Amino acid sequence: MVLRDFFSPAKIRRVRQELLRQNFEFKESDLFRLHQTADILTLSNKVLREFFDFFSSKDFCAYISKITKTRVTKADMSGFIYSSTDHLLPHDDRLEGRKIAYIVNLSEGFTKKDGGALSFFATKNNRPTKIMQSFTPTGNTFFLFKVTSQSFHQVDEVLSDKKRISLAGWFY
Amino acid sequence: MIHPQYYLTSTVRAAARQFAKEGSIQLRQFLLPDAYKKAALPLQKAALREQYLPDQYHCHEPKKISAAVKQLQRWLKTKEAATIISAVIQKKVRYKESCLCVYTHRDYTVRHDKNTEPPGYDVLLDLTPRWNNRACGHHSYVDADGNELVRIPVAGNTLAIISRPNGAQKFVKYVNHFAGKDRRVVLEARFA
Repeated sequence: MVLRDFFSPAKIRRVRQELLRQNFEFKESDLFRLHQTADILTLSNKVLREFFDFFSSKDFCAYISKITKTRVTKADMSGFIYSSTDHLLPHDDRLEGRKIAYIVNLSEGFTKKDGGALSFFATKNNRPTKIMQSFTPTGNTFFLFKVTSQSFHQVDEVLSDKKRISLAGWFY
Repeated sequence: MIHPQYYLTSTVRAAARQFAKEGSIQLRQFLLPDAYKKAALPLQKAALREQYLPDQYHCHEPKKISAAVKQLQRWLKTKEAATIISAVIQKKVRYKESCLCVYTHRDYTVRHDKNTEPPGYDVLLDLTPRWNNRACGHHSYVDADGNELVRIPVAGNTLAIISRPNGAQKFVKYVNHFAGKDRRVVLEARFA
């Protein structure tokens, strides 16, 4: 589910501004290379905490439960920056308790040639086969998808010097 | 075909000392220059076949294997290869299997439950003539918790020997756009 211009532009600008003031830790494994903040819940920044509290609120979880037809009661959230060469290879996100994955994209000025797209895979027998759909990073876009044995997705390599910025996590 | 220095007892003993200390070694200038060039250079332009299981690997293999590369593949199965490798490891080992892998921009392998390898020794004959190290594409060996045990950088004409203890797995780090059109080519063998 892709919800464009979902949040108030002024609010999301402020969230982006505050997020970029946080410490991002470089992380790398066989599956990814990216920069990530600590869990927003542990940060002292007022704007980010308010945004997270809204996400995790009873009302918003009820709204997410309604539009996804999946009962969720809480969320977690971290900030991410993908710089040139950063990527996240195909995976399905499955881990105990995760029901709905989400991404609030805060990137600006990306075009297809900059890379960084969020790509979803077609599956056969619960195995990913080929890319089915790709979304170029666009600011103030809210992605939601169910975490299942078929929810394979990746973040394509960022090919330029632009920064792919997002807040992401899961509803439980 | 093999550089004469690797037939010298002194060279092999020095390699064995380093292997005992580090658990891995890269033997540089392993092939004679002509043999290396004859095998490595044509692979940069060879027609490739894609191998793609998105959650496990994305890599390539040459559609046709040249006589020079076939000679290297045969050599890995010889008693001579087993003798040199056993002397470095200080344990008698035998050839098990090998494959010729080509990694280009966007290629990778990841650790996967369906792809676990038994403990043993990996032998990587690197046939990459030109590489920007910013492109990654190196082999990384990690323990069961994902902590890196050893990283084998891309270096043409080296023979790397790596001990893979129980639980350790390897992967090839995603090749990024700094690779351009260059290809990383490795003859990957397993001994035990």
